[in-house]
Amino acid sequence: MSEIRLGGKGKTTGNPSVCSERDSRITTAAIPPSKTIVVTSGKGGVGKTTTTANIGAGLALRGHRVVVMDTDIGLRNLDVVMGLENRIVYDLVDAIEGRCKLNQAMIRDRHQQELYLIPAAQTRDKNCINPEQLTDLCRRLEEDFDYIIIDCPAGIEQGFRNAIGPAQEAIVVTTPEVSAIRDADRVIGLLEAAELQHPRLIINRIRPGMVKRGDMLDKDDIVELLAVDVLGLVPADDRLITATNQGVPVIHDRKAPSGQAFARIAARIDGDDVPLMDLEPKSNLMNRVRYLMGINRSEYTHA
Amino acid sequence: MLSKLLRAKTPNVIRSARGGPDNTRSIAKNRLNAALSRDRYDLLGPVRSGRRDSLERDLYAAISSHLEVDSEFHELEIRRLNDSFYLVASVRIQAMLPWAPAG
Repeated sequence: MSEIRLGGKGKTTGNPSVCSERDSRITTAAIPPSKTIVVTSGKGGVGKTTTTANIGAGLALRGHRVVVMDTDIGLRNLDVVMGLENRIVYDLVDAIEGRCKLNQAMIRDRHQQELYLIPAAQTRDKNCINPEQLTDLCRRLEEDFDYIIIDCPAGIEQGFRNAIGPAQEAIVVTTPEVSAIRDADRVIGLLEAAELQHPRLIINRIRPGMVKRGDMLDKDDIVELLAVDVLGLVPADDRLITATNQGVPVIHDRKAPSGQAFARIAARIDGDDVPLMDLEPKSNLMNRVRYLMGINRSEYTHA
Repeated sequence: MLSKLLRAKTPNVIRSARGGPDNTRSIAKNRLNAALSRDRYDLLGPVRSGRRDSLERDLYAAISSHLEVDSEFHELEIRRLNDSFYLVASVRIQAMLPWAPAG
């Protein structure tokens, strides 16, 4: 395979390392095909952006070259979740409309050399790009990266259509609440209609104590309702909020249960046969005391 | 112990106020089952008022020529299973009619 240059012929100006390290790898024989994965939900506020950031970081931690792409044009947030908001010069729309080379719109992560962000434009709207343009851009990225993770906007309108256009796989994020599950069902139907078969589900913000008391839907209830495979279970976790406050994906916090859940999800995406997280409420007195004193920030144990 | 008692007590108050033994998890599940079924039903074709009623009528007409059944369906839902949608209908049989061979 010939040398790959992003953004056209000749030397590129944005992130030179984008090309050089990969060039040696693409000459090897058995390179798995790139995967473009859309993270969607229908309902807003269920954790799509956090999930995208952590899956991207998780796959990069496993040694893959990864791009995370924010397609929520006009309402971008993936940049702040990853702590890269001050590094944006060009964005997705600039790259699509030719105002910059593709690699100039790519921002290298602060923590991982092999993780890049393509931010959404903040001053445009979802109608300024179309699925074909985004598909073309992703096909170019696939030549140089192992995974492209697309953060889909909420809703099922143009932004959703743009985001699912290039995807080869879909991940649906939901929370154990009636409104999120209803919207997830609608989105799963639309994904299947768009020939993105077998979307996988991430159930976010599970509160095992509430599940145990019979006041929250559990994994089996949701699987029965939506009839899709579960990719991962993520517990509600204070540490995720404090990590996001600092612009650091929680997967970098080894003590965070949610971070460990995202590490498992990344492994499963990568083909490892990792069991789902076992969320069990802490029942002994010491654990409850620790939680109340702020020593442990979650109310449950995990496998 | 106190927190355990309080925790156990509060849902019971809610449960009794709702007039049933169900916890909120099963209430949510039952509500979602109905909502998803309705959504899927509407999405199978253009939304037309009375579409569900006419399906119920036709199914009832077909079934009642073979079986003596309630006129109201116990269940009429669209469910998803393995990427396909299924119509699930159940109706209470009152009595079997005498069987007669065709022709």
